[in-house]
Amino acid sequence: MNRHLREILFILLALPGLSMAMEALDDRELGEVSGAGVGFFLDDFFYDQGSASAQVSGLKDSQGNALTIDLERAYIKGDGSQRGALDTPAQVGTPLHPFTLKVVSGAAAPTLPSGTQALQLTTPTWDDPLNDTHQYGLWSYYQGCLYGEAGCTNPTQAQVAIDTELSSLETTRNALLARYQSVGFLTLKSGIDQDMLLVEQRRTQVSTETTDVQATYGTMQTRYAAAPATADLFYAKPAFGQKYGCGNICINAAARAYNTSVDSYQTQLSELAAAQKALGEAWSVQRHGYSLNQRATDFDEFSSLCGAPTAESPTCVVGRIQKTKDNRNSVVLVATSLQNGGTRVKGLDVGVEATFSLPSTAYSVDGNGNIIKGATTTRSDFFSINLEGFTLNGAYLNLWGDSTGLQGEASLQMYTDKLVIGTCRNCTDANRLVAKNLYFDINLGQASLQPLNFSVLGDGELRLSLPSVTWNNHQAFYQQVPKSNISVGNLSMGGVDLGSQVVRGMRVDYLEVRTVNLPR
Amino acid sequence: MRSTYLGFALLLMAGPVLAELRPLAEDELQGISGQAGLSISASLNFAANPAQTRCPGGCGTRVAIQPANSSGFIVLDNIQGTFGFEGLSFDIVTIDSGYNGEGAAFNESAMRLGLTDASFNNARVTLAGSNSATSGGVGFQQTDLLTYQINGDVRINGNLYLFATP
Repeated sequence: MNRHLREILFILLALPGLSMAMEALDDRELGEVSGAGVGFFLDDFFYDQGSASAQVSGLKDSQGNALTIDLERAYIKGDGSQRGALDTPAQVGTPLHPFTLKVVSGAAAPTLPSGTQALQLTTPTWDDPLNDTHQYGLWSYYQGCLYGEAGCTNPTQAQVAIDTELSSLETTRNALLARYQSVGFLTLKSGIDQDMLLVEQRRTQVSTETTDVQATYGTMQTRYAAAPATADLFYAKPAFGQKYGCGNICINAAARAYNTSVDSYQTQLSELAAAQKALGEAWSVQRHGYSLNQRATDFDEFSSLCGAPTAESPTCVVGRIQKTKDNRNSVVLVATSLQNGGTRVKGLDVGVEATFSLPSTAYSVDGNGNIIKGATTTRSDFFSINLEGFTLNGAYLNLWGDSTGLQGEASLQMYTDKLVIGTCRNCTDANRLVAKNLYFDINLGQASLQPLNFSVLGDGELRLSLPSVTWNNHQAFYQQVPKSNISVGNLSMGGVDLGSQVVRGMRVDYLEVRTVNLPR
Repeated sequence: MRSTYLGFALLLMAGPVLAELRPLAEDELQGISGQAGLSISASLNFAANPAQTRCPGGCGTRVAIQPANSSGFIVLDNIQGTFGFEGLSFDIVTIDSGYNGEGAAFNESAMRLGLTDASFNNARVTLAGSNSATSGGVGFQQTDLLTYQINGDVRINGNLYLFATP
């Protein structure tokens, strides 16, 4: 054997070893793999529509007339631009906190179904309390006023507000604890459970009686329709629900049958009333000096404040009180940072001013008091939206495709110091809608349980949908599908303060949005 | 004879000059930023095709995208008009300072796109959903959602930095 042949043989012998090294990566290992992506940010940026004229068209009003929106002015500038008047440059992202676009799987997108990779777009993300939108958004809701404006220079105002809320919750909890201290919460629960058996029994009775009433009412309706205009020569047809004067001795069979049905209906009605009364009594059963109704309400309230009790003297480590305490920690962190002179990364000023033309019909009243339709003219309306200090930090969008189409999940973290909506061209904020400290924490879709699906149907209609919760996944669904929150520190309209507004814990059970080409 | 001396002297000088053409070290390279790159000026005209009678005056360019496993297409239709800009710059820079200290910590190269004012001449685009990638024909269906039109000069300022992330 010459030397070359020997070498080839060695290589061949070594090959199985090589192929063994090429084993498939398991899920855990794949979870670590994340493709390199692109980062980007904008420096010294502004956009101004300037002298250009722009239009959005293709929309139609209810009469089928084309509706054109003239965009008179549009801008994206840095915070402090005085609603676009100054060319304040904006810094959108920084070298270490850029927007990123990359392919992710595993730990970078933990909700994705196993083995799926997604295209992920993230906005600049910070962890410090002032720039973490969750924490700052929470603080700003409790603060109410726009920090830095006249009369709003004390960042601990939010702390005072959340302390007040917390103390009110704790007062309620303490009152409940004191009320049932001698009884114990497990005993309270078992008492409620026992008394609820009677309630359930009587509820069933009420439901049976309700069905009976509906059935006899139906019979009465049918027989009333078949009953004669006059029975036994003298007795005219009575109003529905009333009986013929001949009572149970009517000779006319249809009239007699109708009269009987009225009696049956009345009997069932009184049986239903009796069942409802009995149900009311079941709710009033006393134990430990309190009615069942009171005890059940108290127990539910305590569970919501502190979590479901697991001992006679329960702890309070979950529930709304704990949640508020956790929130308080965030509020304090933000307030302390601001007191120490911390500043936020500046946001954007974004604005659009538009006019749109609508047909307007004049109506008048003539000499006889009749309303007369006059000529239809075109009316031009003005509309403006301005955002001040807008940030989208900490948001992400994951997109991937599977057998059902283009799927996605998104978390939008929109915060703005001020949102001003106006319908008057020459007026001040006193005549506009002004929302301060506005925070939209909108979560749409969850990759495994409720992916956001986007598709275009065969007829060219666009469809956006979130699949509904199912019986099989409802437990995981309500635990894992993220909720959405909207909070406004202060809302004022026409100069009148409406105070703070909050919507917490929204979750979309089912959503389907479709475009429809209306025949016009 | 004099020119021979001169040539000889130049040759002697050329030695040290060549020696200066050594590669720059990493730390020296980092000190260099903002070298002149490309400057792009363009005017792009999307003309209407009068043969397509579906749109008044003919249809412009059409871009159709079919999302995964969808039967239909999302369409940017009837793109028309002129879009122009002057002096869009393009270069590679090293970010190693500024940004409240983030620049020094970042210390990497990035592609910089210097944005500039743009002008539009009756530019328009229609966003629509359609059952076909190509326009017209038998059974063609399309729902136009909205049309955006712009005419005139807009002011754009700023730099877009693009770089690789791990």
